Amino acid sequence: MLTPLLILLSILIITIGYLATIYNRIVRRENKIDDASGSIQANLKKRHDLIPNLISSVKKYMDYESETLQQIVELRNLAQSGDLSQEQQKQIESQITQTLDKLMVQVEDYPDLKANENFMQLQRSLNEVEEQLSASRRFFNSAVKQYNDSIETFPANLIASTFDFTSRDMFEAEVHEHKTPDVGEMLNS
Amino acid sequence: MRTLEDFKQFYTNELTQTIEELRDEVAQIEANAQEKKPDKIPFILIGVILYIAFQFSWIIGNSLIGLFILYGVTKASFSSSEPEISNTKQQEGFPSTFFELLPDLTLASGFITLVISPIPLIYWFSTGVFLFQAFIWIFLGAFTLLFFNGVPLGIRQEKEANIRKAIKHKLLGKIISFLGDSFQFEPTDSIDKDKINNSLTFPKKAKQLYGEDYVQGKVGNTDIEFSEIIASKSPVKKTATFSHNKRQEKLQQKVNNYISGKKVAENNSHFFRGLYFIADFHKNFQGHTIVRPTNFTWSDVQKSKNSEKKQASFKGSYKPDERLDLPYEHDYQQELKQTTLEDPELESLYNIYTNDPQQARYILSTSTMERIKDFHNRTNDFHDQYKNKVFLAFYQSKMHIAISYAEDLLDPKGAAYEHIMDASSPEELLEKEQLVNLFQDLQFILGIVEDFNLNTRIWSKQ
Repeated sequence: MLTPLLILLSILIITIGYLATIYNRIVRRENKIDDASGSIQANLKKRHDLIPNLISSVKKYMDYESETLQQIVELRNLAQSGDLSQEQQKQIESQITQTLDKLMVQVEDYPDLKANENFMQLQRSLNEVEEQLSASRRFFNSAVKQYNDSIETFPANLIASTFDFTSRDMFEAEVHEHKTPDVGEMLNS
Repeated sequence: MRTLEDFKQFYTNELTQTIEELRDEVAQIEANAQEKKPDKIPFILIGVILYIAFQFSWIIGNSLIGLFILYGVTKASFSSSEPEISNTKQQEGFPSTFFELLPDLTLASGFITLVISPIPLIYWFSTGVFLFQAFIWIFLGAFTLLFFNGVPLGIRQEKEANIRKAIKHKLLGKIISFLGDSFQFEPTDSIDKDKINNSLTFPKKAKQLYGEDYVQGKVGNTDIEFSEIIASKSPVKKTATFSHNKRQEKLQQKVNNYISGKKVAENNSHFFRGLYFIADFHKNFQGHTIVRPTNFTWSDVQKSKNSEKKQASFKGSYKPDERLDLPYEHDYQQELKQTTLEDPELESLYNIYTNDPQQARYILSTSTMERIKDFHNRTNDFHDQYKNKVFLAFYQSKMHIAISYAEDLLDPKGAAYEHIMDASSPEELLEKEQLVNLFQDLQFILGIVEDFNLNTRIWSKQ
């Protein structure tokens, strides 16, 4: 009488233990996505902090392109306003990247500006932030991939559906990111 | 970067002069070695006298050794009818005088004695007759010869070591300073052991490090240093009877042996041999990231070696199945975990360990990953007979690269020293490509900076 009960009990304990492990693994991976997302935010913040300095050092030289400068400032303010959905934020940041790229191309026509020590330093910092941003996005994507893999495979998918874990979206590679090396060549020339 | 054409120009202008100076230096070393030899004759005589005594005591030994000495002396007297060697060109080839021949002669006869010495023992066991006299004389003879043959042999090795050293100091030093004014060359120095160990480039800690050809300097904006190393996982044995100084001496002797081209007493504890290169990385970064080859065992290096003979001499050095691609205990201590990047091709070649996955991606940007693959291919194309393995570590804003080689990289191989000294005209030497190879090896090493784009300083590090 006692033996079948014990067997059942141990099977139950093992099953619960197993399910708990799977659950914990999913939670850990979800937390990793949050970590990665936090690191993206930190890098975006760094970029936002750089923009005012960049604008003020560029403004003295580039009157004609004030439209571009204006656009960057507006986008930056918009991004910092806080009440944005994730999708909107992505779009704005993507626009900032594009506009900054455009600005760096326009800088080509201003040799004085290009030679300016302060501007060069800012440009280096900007390059670094962009690179860090790209690294944190890659880290985010690999975290999302691990997480998605873990909730889509059996038996973890049962747990995932029970506890409402849903798959997440990755960052899509932005075409203009590939242009970043151009800035380096500009600096070298 | 200097080109091969520049080098040829430099060679005609300056290096020819250096080689002339070297010839004089080598002649001096030769002369010194010649002077040393006569002092050692009594030792050889003792050996020979003991041999004669031994001949009386046992008939088999008598006939064998007698025949051998007869053969050796005939050969020696035949060769010594040639004029005495006084010029620098005659060296290191086939021994041509009696003195030159003596070491080989005594060594060989010593070995023969060792081989035949068990015969009285076998005779004793099988017949029950104990030939006491034969027993004693054979061992005494063998011991004497093996002990004393080291003396003339030592003189020859010392001479060769001195010649190699002289050539290396001058020639390599000159070529390196041609490649860049900032370079400092220390032929007997090595990269600091702690730097290598702390970087965790290898899964094992090097407790003992042999090194040579240390170069330090700047390529463009990038600080670099490199040297050839042999890393060993076990320390020098501490023997209680040795005083501290004696131990130091012994260690120094080992290092000198290695530098002078003598074989280091090789054993299973050597786990890496090759080039170790450290460069300032072009980005500042935190954390610790390591890129190690997958499925790497030392047998890969052995298999890829082209020469059978060399393979035999190399076999004793490494455990064939020792896996160096696995994480080891101290990786876990540093919380290094394997991470997966987006490049399947790179993943198939290398395992990447890091304690900061985001920084790992910052260091190993898409373009750096491409560069690692290109470098991997280029390394294997450059010396394609070796299938060299590349280890990378990124630590404290520096990049460490270790490339395994089965033999010395910055050393004119084998008979090259003779070629350098023998060439009758500068053009002839260039044709023989010994110097050109040396130059290309160096160019390859310094090219690492370009390979990894380390001079592009568009990030906040300048």
